[in-house]
Formats: sequence, structure tokens, C-alpha cells
Amino acid sequence: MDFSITMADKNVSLIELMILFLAYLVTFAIVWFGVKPLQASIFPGLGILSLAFIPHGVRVLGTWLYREKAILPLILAELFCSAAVTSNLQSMSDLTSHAISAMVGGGCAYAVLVLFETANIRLDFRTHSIRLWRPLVLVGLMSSVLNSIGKSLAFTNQILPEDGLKTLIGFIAGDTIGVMLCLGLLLLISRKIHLTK
Amino acid sequence: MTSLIRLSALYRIIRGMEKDLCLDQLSHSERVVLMSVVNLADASGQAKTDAIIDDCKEDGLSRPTVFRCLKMLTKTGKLHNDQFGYYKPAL
Repeated sequence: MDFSITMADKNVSLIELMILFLAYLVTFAIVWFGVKPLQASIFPGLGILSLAFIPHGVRVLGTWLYREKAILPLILAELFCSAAVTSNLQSMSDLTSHAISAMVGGGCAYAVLVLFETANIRLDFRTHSIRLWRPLVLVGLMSSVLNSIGKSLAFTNQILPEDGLKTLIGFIAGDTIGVMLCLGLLLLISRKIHLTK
Repeated sequence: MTSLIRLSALYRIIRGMEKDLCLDQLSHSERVVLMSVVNLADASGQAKTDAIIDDCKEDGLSRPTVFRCLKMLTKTGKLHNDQFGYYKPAL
């Protein structure tokens, strides 16, 4: 049984999708107020790059759990975050860049999951081994490649041509580290709940 | 029901990570007892057996289970004990 599909076929409550939306906002806030200032003090000059973009982990886990239903909340969450932290959303091209970036971000993990299924790789937690987190990190890495290419194209007017490759690698590294950190956070929260119960 | 299945899927991921990071070596009861000792430890870092038993009773552990866990945790070096019935974490 392809559980990953049947999960999404069943009703997904609005509350669950709102939790996904909020999870993205919370992890983005952690990155914006925690990771970014820290990385700016250690590696100044990274600009728009984040070396640990935890929301990408939310994208991967959310898409794995909710499939295509996760795309819209993820796009809206990314747009909301972009609007909240970007002060120069004046021109139409800025808006278009952010919209494209959000759409690529929201759909990248789903695209990789579909690719996996096309290759007959099922990330079904019932039939897969317990170490399912490893292929999910791979999904995170592959989707970050798609996401990075999309973002580089969306913000092509803000990235200097000579910095193109550096930015692309930075996006991929940041997203992948973010997935691992997100899983680590999940582990920490789970253990905290279990141990203090 | 499907929400529960999703939660279970997430929990499976966490269990997988715990296994890979060797964080699943303790049983649930042993974890409860170890955390109880850590929480009850006084200024000298020690917790008395009776207090541990009472504390663990709230988590549904019986007296024999607590003793079995204390014995196992002491044997595996996670706890130290003395002849007066005091336990302290070895960390």
C-alpha cells in the first residue's frame, strides 16, 4: 500500500495546515532573529544567504505528510515572511521575485517526492525501515537544489553574476543544514516532552 | 484518525534518529527513573530511594520496577549509589 498517497487522500483539517503555516513562521523567526545575527557576526557578507534555513525542514516534513495540500500553506507562509522582513517591496519586479521564490519554495519538496515516486521509491513509513529520516534528508538536499536554482533565477537582479555559483551553493548548504536542524529540533522537543512527562 | 497516523509517522522518524544517535539505549521506565533521580537530586547531587519511588509512582511505575531500573542504571554506570540508599547521576 502506498501510504504516502493515502495519507494525503484522506481529509486534512484546516487546523493541521495552519499548524504547518505557523511552524514555518516560527522556524523562520528562529532563523531571522537567532541564526542570521549569529552568522553575521561569524561570517559577515553572506547577504541574503542563511547557513541554516530551518524552514526548509518544515517544507520537507510538511510535504511528506500532507503532499500537495502542503504547497499552499508553505507558499503563503513564505510570502508572509518575505513581506514581514523585506522593507523594499516597492516595484512590481520585487513582488514578482518574491512570489516566484515562494512558489518554488512551496513546491520544491513536492516535486522531489513526485520524482521519487516516478522512480518507484516510496517513502512510506509503514513499509520503510525505521531510519526514514535519512531519505528525508536526501529529499531535503534534492529539493534544496531545485529551490536554490529557482531562487537564484527569481533574485537574479539582486545577485551579482560573479556571486551566482557561490550563492547557489550557499542556498543548498543552508537548506540541507536547515533540514537536519529541523529534525534535530523535533528530536529535542520530543525528548523534552517524554522526559518531563 | 489520519492526524494520529501523521503523528505516528513523525514519531517513527524521531525513533529512527534516536536509534542512529544511540539515544534509545534506555527503556521508558529506566528513562523515567533516571530523570527522577536527576530532578530529585539535592544540593549534594543525591536523591533518596523512597523519594525516587514516590516520584516514579506518579508515572505509573511500581516499586519493583523502580528497584529493577535503579539496579540496571547502577550496573550500566549511569547512576552511583551508596549504602544509605542514596543515588546520584554518574554524568
